[in-house]
Amino acid sequence: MPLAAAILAFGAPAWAEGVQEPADYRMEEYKAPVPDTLKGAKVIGTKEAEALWREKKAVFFDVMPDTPKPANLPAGTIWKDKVREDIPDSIWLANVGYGAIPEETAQYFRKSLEAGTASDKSKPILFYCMTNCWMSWNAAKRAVEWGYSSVIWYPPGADGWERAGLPLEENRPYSTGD
Amino acid sequence: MRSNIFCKLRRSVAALLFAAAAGGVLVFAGPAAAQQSMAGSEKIWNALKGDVLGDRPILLDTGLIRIEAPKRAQDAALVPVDIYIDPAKAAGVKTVTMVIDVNPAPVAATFQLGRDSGVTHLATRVRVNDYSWLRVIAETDSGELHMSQTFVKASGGCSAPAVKNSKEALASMGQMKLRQFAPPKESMTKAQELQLMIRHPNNSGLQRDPLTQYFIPAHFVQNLSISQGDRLILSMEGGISISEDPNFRFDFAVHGTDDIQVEAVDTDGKVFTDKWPLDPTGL
Repeated sequence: MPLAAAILAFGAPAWAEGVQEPADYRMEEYKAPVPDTLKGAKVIGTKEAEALWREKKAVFFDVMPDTPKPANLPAGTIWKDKVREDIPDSIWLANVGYGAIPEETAQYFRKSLEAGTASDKSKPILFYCMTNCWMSWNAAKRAVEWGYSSVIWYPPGADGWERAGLPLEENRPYSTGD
Repeated sequence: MRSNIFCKLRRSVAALLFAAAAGGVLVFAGPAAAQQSMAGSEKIWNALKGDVLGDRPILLDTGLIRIEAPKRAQDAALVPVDIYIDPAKAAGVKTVTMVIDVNPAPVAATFQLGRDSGVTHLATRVRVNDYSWLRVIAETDSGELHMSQTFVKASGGCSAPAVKNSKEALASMGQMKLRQFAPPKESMTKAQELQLMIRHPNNSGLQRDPLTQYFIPAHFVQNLSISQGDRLILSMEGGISISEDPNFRFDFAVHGTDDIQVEAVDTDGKVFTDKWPLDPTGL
């Protein structure tokens, strides 16, 4: 396969090579080329992700950010929530992939992980957002730090999944019921 | 640091060239792939237009109104927009609605033009959240809707952090400055140009506080009216998409010698007013 075609097929931009894994969380410019590695986690491509998904061997967490509707908009403001299409059966945890998150968001993330894994920290959990998105890198790193032992990072994200001809489904941000 | 960046840049350029040479074609599969497409933006608009304009026919590109914006914005939080109305038909235009399809609150502003205001050009700056059509729709006295649209490549404008820090912004909030420009020499009309600058953070509600990581509440100029004496030139109902430190430049027909008066009301109910004597020389 010619190299350009190979690059296209795997959804990884040519300039991504050489991005070094930082020691700490990514704090800004989340839409940018990502590294190939994440310490303490397994990094996989679409083929492996598809297998995990078909065999239901990992819990899929989408961490695409979302902006909640501001509370104080003038009456009559037309507001359209973003329609998120992601990998079917994913749990969408919006905004847990920022470099720093407020305590409420951390609580929400912890609770959601516990719910998704039935409090089994060895259960395989997979994180993604979109191609060239650091949010999933951050979120997966956070899960590793919280003691999850089988963390998987899928960098191509929902758009990489779609480019491979796999289905997407409309999702809503997960609620812990609080 | 700098040389490091250049080094990386050279390397990626080299990689691209190599890819091009090897494959015979240069294909970008980079960040652009996930952006909103023209068709995607159009789909959002089709689902939205009924809420904005009701179930009425929309006439596209009739020449009555025209929008201009850069094809690719340098700063998604400060995208310059120019709206032009055909001077021969301007008197029949009642309102101008500006829509940014992909913004979560897509109606950026609705401008009402005063009777005989003579406004034929209006420029301002907006936030654009993702690749999107920017649209302006003029409603005429007879109820016709005329639309013009332009596609802008920008992303992240609604959540981009403010340029000024919040303390600085609050200290100067509501201060206004008006510049007056004489009509261009070649102009046959008596239209004069005004540029109104209002200090206001115009927080969209989608920006995060870099220290606390919480979303900063929405706080923006909701209503603005600009008049000469008691004659309305134009008024605006604004939303989250008008950029920090709102700025409007427009022409208008001078009527008499009354002062230019401005009133702005923000979403906290704060009222800001100011006035300036008309300067017919524009100096």
